[in-house]
Amino acid sequence: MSIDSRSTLGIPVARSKRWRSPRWWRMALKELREILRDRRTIITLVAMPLLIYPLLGVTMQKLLVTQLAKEAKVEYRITLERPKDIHLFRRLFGRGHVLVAQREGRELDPEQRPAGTIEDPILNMFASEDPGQDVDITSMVQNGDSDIGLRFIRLGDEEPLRCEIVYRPDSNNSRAVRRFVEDRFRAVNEAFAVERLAAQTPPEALPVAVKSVVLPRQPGATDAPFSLATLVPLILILMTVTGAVYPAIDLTAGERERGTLEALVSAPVPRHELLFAKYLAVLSVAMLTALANLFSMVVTAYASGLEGMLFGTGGLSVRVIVCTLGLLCVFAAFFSAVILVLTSFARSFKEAQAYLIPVMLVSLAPGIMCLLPGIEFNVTYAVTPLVNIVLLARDVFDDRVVPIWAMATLLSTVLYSAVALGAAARIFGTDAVLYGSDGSWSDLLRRPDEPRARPTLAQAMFGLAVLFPAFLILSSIPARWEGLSIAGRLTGNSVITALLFAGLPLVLTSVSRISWTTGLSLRGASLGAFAACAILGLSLWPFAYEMQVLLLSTERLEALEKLFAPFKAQLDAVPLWLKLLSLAAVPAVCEELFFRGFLLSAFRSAMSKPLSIAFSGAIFGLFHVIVQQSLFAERFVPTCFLGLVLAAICVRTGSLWPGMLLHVMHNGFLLSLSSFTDELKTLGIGVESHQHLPAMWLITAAIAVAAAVALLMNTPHPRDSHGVPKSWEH
Amino acid sequence: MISVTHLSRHFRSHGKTLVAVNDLSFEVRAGEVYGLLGPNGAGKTTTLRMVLGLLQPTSGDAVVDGFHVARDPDEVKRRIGLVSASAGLYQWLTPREMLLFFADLYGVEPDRAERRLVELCQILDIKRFLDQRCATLSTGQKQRVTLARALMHDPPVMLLDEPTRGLDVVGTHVVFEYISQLRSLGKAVVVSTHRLDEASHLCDRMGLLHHGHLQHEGTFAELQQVTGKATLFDMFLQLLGSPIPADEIAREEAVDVD
Repeated sequence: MSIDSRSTLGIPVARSKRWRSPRWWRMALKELREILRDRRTIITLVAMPLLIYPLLGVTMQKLLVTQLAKEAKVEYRITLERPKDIHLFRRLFGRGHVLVAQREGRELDPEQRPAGTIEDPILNMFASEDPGQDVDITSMVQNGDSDIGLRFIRLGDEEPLRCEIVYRPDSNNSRAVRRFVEDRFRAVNEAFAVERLAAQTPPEALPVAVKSVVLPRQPGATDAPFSLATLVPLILILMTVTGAVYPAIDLTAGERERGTLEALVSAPVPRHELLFAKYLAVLSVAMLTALANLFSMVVTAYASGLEGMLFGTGGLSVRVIVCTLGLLCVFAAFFSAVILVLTSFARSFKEAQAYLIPVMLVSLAPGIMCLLPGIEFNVTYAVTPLVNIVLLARDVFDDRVVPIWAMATLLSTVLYSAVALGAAARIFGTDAVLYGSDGSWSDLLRRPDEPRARPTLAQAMFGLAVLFPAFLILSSIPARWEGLSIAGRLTGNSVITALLFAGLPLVLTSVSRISWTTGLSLRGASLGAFAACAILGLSLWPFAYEMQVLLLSTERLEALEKLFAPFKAQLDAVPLWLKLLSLAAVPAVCEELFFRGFLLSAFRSAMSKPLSIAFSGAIFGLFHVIVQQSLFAERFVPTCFLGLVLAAICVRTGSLWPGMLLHVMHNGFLLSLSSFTDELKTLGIGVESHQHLPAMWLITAAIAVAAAVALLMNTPHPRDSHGVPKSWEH
Repeated sequence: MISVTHLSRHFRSHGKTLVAVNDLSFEVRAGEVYGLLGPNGAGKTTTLRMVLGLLQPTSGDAVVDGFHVARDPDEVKRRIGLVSASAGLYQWLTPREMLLFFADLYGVEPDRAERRLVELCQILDIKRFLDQRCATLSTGQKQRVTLARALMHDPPVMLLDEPTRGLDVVGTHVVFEYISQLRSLGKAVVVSTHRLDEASHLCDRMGLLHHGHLQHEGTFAELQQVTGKATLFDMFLQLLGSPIPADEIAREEAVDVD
């Protein structure tokens, strides 16, 4: 036995010398290989959908056929006592039927035979073939041979014609046909009375002439108690969940139970990377399940001709399939992360199942709620997990997606997934889970023992996941305070902004023992940096203005004006200082604390400077796209541009203060411009008129910007607490 | 190579603080086999887990090849191969797939991993079931694969927690012979075992643990001199007869701290 043996022993040696794919990908592939070799996964993944949908399809088809057959047999049997009255009945009934149809706003084709529907049932009339022989209608109805019996009585030529309807109150059909015939006769009588009154001199009328105004049917409107278009995404979501559950348990709690987890966490691989690979594997299986289910459902629906009923008003199309898959992917990303949190905490397969079953049952409730008629998107639903996805899928099927709700749904779901993943990574493989040592869910909220320099990426995601829905919900509140003056609303708005954008980062950093100096960049900066930012604050606005002029179309400008029209007149009455304070200074200061203080700092702890700047700028831009619960995508470019500039300044100076000054001045300048719209219009400047600024102004601003950048570049690099220049990092 | 200083670990259970390891200090040099011996609940496994960084010590520190486990856990992990009695295998993978996967986790490049696999196949005699699903292997075969997994990255330090549990006589012999080879290659080896007969021959030095305390430490001859007993078995009996502190009586039932 020798350790230095070089013999190949017939074992093939890999050709490649280095790995070509990242390690997390190779790890995910290994997890997938392991899961897909397990027959139980294959049963959930392939066998279930292949069996269930054809069975469901056949059942539904049978139900529909039975239903249609029932509807086609709306047929009433009427027996006339005397054969000679048959023509009289036809004449009176025919006229009444037309009058009722007119009253109900229905077109009636007199040439066409009644269709057998509720409105136009098939009437089968019976009378004796012998003109001289009467029929005993009472016994006919009594025996169930006829639904009703009709007897016309004419006592004399001058006497009015009477009609007796014989019916059985204990028979649904008998009652229905009696009401049906009586309605038509009553319509004839009413028309007669109206004509008679009109013929009077002077003409008279009924005390109240009633006329129904029938509106055209809305596309997609249905009288059904719930829409099948909602049921389909719910079924797909449930099946996707089913697909994710087994691998999630197997790869976390199962691994702990089998004793492989200890070996795995003994390797020099960060726990979050291990968990990310597992997450990718769970997500892949969930998506494979979704794909198998969608495929089976589509084929079944197409084969059984149910696609129009199942896939909304637009029916089955490539767009619907792609959108559904996309939504399922977002949902699977969310749910896989959530169940990984639970299964990572479980110490055994059984414990994981015990955690998951209540969660799955609870998650059914919002899904079923969406089946109820009349449930429409609002801010709360848009940020409620599962509800938002089901509603969005329904709207996709019905081709009536509202962009703001779609964006809120996607963004909030992605954020919740990131938070869940962060929590799972914190739990996975800890000694509490691995060895059952002291630990509980409260560990997730435990303050760290040591003070920290910067927030983590997981904390940033948590901050965003709290801020985004809260921002959507709370920012709509001041507009509802109708009794409050505009100054009061502005103050309320400022308080909400301060609570969200300043309060949240301050609380999060305090709870996590993160230094405000390093974690929020609340440290001093050189005078040169302040001077440069002051110049930028005065010189950046022309570029923001030009971007607005270039990007905003006349229609969008009109939409914006319409949106703010109710406030414009009131805003004019507010003193400029209050406007500057509430609309320029407070948002600028608070946004700086969150976006450049907290978020950028967290990004810097996990990625390079350029990526951190890019991400924080893009998120800053995204937040500004939402205006009064509407989406204005055109605002993304200018606000993202400003976000990038501010983030770059914060990284360069290491301080939040100069950027804050720039932001306040920039906001203030743009707001002041809007207060002097009339004066500016005389100079030919105004976004509304789509007129560009004079070239000289732009050149001057560009020179000022260049000077400010040069000044910034010459400011000293920030130093951290150990005296190492910040620029050395990354 | 391994330096453990004042290492302690307390667990909380049912409102009580239980001391699993108490102020433990020992050193293991390169090319030395150190036996961590003691009855169930002595704190052997807890000690090994803390050295590897899987359990956070309540106090104290462990240094492996110059790296502090608290400060550089990944560097420490990179230098250690762990063989645990409770370790399992991936049921749906073959030993080949599993061993190459672990080599990848430890940053071993593919061609080196393949060469290493060939070496270990010969040493541990695992070639004949290398492409068989792990679920179908016998206990002895599984233990060999576990041993191979810990050796794939050729670490300078080996922590072996009951490496012969479940092995037959031949398997045990192979493991102990291999441990001797590891010593000759200059690796630092810590073995926790119940096989006292083998330990006395195999280990260069031994630490006798009881209730988390290191009661005696030294070579077999030194231990004989200190305890006045001729065999490790007698030393064990002596240990078991020593009084247990009142606050630690419930420990074995409460927490798995062996």
